[in-house]
Amino acid sequence: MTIERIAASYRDRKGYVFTSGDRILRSIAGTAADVQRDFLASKVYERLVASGRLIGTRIAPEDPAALGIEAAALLLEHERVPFISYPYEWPFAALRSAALLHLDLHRELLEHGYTLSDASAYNIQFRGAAPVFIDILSVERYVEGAYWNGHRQFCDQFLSPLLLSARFGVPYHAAYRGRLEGLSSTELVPLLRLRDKLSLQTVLNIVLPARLESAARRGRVHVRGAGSRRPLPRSSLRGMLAGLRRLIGRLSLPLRDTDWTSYAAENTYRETERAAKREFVARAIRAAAPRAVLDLGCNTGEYSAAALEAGAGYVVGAEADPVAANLAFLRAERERLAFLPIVQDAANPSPSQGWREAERASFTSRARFDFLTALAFEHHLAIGRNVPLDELVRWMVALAPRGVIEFVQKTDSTVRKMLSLREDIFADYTEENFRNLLTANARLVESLIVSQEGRILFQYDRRE
Amino acid sequence: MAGRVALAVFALSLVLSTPAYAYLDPGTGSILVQGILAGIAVVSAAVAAFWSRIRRLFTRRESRDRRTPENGGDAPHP
Repeated sequence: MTIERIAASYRDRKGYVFTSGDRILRSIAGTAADVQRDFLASKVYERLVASGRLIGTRIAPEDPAALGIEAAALLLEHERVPFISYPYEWPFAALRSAALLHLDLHRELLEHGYTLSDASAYNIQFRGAAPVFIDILSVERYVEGAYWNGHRQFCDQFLSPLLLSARFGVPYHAAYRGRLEGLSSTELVPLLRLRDKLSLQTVLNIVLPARLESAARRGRVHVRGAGSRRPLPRSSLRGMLAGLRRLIGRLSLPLRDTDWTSYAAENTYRETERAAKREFVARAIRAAAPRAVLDLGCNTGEYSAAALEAGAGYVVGAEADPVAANLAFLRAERERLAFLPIVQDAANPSPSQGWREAERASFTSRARFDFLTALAFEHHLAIGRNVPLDELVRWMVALAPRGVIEFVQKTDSTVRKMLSLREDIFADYTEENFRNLLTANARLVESLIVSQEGRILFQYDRRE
Repeated sequence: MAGRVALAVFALSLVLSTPAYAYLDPGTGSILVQGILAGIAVVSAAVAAFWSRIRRLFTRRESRDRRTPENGGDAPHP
């Protein structure tokens, strides 16, 4: 079996992660192997895995040399997660939940003589709405008096983006995606108003470090090397973690209606029509019994939940509006669904990027779905974003071998509203053309008109 | 007194401090803030030690004042 090193696994020289077929393996070199062996045998490891907060890990049975891994003192095998997602795709509540997991994990590890070497948000993944820590190599032995080396990274990758959204209602996703490492405190500080700075935790974690950093740059203060620093007592470190937990636990998105949040309540469907739509989706899901479903334009996750109820194994929702995606995440959390909504604009999906343009995988390369639902979605691309209908249909059908796509007529009140201020340049936007394009790409299984305005659901299958 | 405690804490700090170089750059500002927190911890430890000395001084005197028959004092008058 050929092994393939994960492109993002290069920072920590103590080891790296690679795949071998379906397996996720980790090679660890040197003395870090002893720490990991002890940790894997510890009660705290057992408890963290049992509660779902840490990824399940075992010592791989084979000899590292047999796989051609040089200098491996220890070979570990990790459990897989259903879908890899990145912090710049997470709705607000997901990033907050990941931040709290990081702090809780660190606090619990400290009680047992361990600590975390970094605070990368990419070390956390989701199973449904439940965050899980996947980078076991970050766990190190705690040395009394040691500083929290990951503090700045924690603030950049968790706290600053959360504060930006919570205090100003500005989504962090585009900026986070652009720079990958989060938002720096030095850039956030000039934005903060006096009332934002009345919080001790904001001052301690954002304002003060930024001020001291610029003072150090100008040579006004000097930072001591790791060997000559005053030790930071464990209780102070615990206090820092607890303070951040208090601050982040209280953050929430400012209440604000977007076009989408009220959509589920006010959309043009009548209740009977919505029930017909749900039943059509449920029937198609029951027949296909898909393991992984992609719900394009999932909004607050109403039909994702319906798909799960009909037997889908796991649903990833893609939603361009961060506020609607956040509500969908809260739904997944509340109802404990195997559903992960991510913030994703179909006209500009996450690219492959980072070091060698391979560190963070593109959305499409991660899209291994058995079933697609795209309900009340296509017109936002075809009309709203001018995407040619033939390209759109081809793209959607390529995302999953089977699925349900809803077509919205040009006479529909939503489309009429979209066209009210602009010229109608969409001569080919017709039900007939849509149907032809779909049959050119897949077999048409069934169709059903589900609204008085003629919205129509198409079920396709392209497996032959 | 307080000076002696602070000196002891400082000496202890020299023993305890270990180089903790990480693969991650912890950031100047973050290290400086943690240095301040470490300093506050030293000062509050010194203050706490100082106060507990003072409190012990008083509790010793108080316990001498409030002797009961069991520990050899006079029974309180009714």
